[in-house]
Amino acid sequence: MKNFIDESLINKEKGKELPFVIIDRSFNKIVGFSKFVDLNLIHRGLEIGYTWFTPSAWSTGINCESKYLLLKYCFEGLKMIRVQFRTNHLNIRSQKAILKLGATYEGSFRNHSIRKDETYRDTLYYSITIEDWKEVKNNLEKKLNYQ
Amino acid sequence: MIPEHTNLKGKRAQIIPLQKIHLNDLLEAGRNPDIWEHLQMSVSNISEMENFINIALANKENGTEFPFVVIDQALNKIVGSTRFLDIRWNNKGLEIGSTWLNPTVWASDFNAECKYLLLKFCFEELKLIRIQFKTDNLNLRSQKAILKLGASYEGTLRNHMIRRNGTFRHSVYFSIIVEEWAEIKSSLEKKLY
Repeated sequence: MKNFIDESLINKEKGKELPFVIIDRSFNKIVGFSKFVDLNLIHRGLEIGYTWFTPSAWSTGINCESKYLLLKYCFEGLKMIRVQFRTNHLNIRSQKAILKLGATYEGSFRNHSIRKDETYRDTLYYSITIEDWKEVKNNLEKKLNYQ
Repeated sequence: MIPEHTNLKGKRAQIIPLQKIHLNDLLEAGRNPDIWEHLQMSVSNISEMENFINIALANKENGTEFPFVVIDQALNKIVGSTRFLDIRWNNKGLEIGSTWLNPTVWASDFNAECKYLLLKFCFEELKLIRIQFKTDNLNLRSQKAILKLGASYEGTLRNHMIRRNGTFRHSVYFSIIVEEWAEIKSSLEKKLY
């Protein structure tokens, strides 16, 4: 874990990534992690990824709310025009979760990564654009019972 | 890794690693504003070309890119530049792009031969499994040229870049994978040779 944190912070230093911890406010405890990667300030885009949660936080809606907070920060704070999500073609759970956020599927990059077992994987690309944000925000706020 | 003595020779096109000494020849080859219309960069004088070369060589140094110059063997002249970018050795993939060529070699098979030489090098020497191309959604000529090579359209990433004029560009992505190479190679060879 020390290694994991050190690596994240080195990439933060280089300006390529921005790592976060996610806190469950009802217990005041860290329950997960997420980060901005592929940060591109010139083209105003970034990717949200490498998200994981401790099992007690699964199916609680905390993932959805943390994505809402990150997206809001990206579009309204950082003035991004594109926020990207990626997953591989075998990770059906992640694909569903990304679509449920309101992201749009854009395509599959074939032979995009090689697994430890030497098999090739396709990477699925999704995004939310600044033009989509108003509607996506509205839907997420409804889902999170903010409205 | 890619050897410094790499020298890809076709019937008319030849591709060798970019070096600082190519400055004047590249400047000469790039003297035509039509070349830069759809590209992210625009080079019109010696300091801009110096900058172009320095950035390319810095990216080569950090391992993400590998730039080349393109020679027309018929005239023994440098006519443009191309490069590998987004090099991902762990996943055996890269993108061929940032290509620009002098109009004297447009509307011929010259660029197709360049791509053939680069693809052959990628799949047969570097043993890669995926070669990617991307272009501006408004650059229909480039999209057609990429499809004509035999690459497959994979998707369009929206708001992927900001053009020099401030508008948002969608990037259209294509690829050729190692499973397709034998067939694409033979149809390119039929067309070219």
